[in-house]
Amino acid sequence: MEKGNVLVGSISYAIKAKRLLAKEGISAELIKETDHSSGCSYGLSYEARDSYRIFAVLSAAGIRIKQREERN
Amino acid sequence: MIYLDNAATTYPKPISVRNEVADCILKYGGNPGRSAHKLSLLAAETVWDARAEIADYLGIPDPSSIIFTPNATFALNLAIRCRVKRGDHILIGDREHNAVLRPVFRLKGEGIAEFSIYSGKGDVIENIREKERKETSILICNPVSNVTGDTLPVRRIASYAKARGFFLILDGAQWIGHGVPDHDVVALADAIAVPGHKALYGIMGGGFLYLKTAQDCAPFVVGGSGSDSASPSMPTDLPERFEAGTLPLPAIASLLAGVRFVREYGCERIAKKEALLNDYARNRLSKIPGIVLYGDPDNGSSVLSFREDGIKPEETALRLDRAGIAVRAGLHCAPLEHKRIGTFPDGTVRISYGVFNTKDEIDYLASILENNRGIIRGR
Repeated sequence: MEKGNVLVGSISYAIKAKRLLAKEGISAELIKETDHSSGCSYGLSYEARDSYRIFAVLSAAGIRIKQREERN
Repeated sequence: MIYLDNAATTYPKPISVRNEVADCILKYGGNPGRSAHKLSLLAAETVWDARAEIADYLGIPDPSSIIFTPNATFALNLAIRCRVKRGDHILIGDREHNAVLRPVFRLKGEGIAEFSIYSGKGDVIENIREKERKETSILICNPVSNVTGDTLPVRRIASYAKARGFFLILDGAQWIGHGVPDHDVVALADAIAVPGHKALYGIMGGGFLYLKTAQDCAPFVVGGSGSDSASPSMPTDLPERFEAGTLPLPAIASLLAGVRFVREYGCERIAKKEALLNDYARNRLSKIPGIVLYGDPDNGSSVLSFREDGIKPEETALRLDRAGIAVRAGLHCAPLEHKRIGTFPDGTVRISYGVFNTKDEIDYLASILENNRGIIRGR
């Protein structure tokens, strides 16, 4: 199944996003990634089919997506 | 032991608080916001739950604006330091705790900011207006005195601060948790400092600052935040911008359980119980010859200060301790308030109630004081 990841920055933003998505019936798991540009970042892993709704929810809540990735 | 020192810290803690702390240590004690293993993520979700519970309780729209601190003093220092700019003028009330007085005194000593003290007597708004300068940028208000329980008209003060564009900091140490939270006042405040271990029934080591916005606010403690780690600067977003270093997870977990306890017990019920005990204590103690009571008899608060004629407050407190009653004597870290009521430098004896106190305990306190007075008269 295709999975998607988004990084939002802090753990607080990631949990805030997770809770908002849960209210919309969308399941997501907390993840942590590290890269050269920002160092440690938290985000969410989700079913890629939910991508459109997820971006809409996060955008409405003012949660900036720092990085996104979708894969099989 | 009869515990009447709840303004210093509430004791005992509710069973739900004790259980939450035990669960935290035994079941999810990872470092929140540092790793991605289950214990760390469970810890982080508990921290978020605490932010959300506090925000909902206080009528704050975004839980991210709840910044956890070790205590209310740290929160007040953060609120003042994050906002003050060189050349600013700060207004503080005449019943502030040293948690406010000392930070502004230090700012003055460092040549960063000046401060003036407004009187809480009479028309407070007029008193504030008299002390204003063109450089005034921050207004600090302690809605409830930790010595006398006397109150300030915080709604009027908050509205005035808003109208004048002042950054309003409220000291919630003896205010939050003692009744139904005034969401209208919270909405007007820019920052509110609150201890977790007093009327919110958490354990010592945790408090929080509600900060409306991070805009124009610089952190005064910097360090690890668990995110944006490649940057030498703190993150820009709340709350991590102001939460350098590992959070006090057991204290935050206890605060989550404590706020839930307060809400389940009932905010109105707490206010009624504290006012009832205060009225009862004031009435009982006022009938004992040689006892002098302080504060507005109608303040309806959870603290009462008194002195025994001819005895230093510390001696009264010692006698009460020997009789199994815990109270606090001295200046209560609030020399301004003691100067205001004329009890500086020896201070007063303060009794303060929590939800677990009873009228029978007040009766016992009164009987010990009556006995003391008999001994003193017989000297």
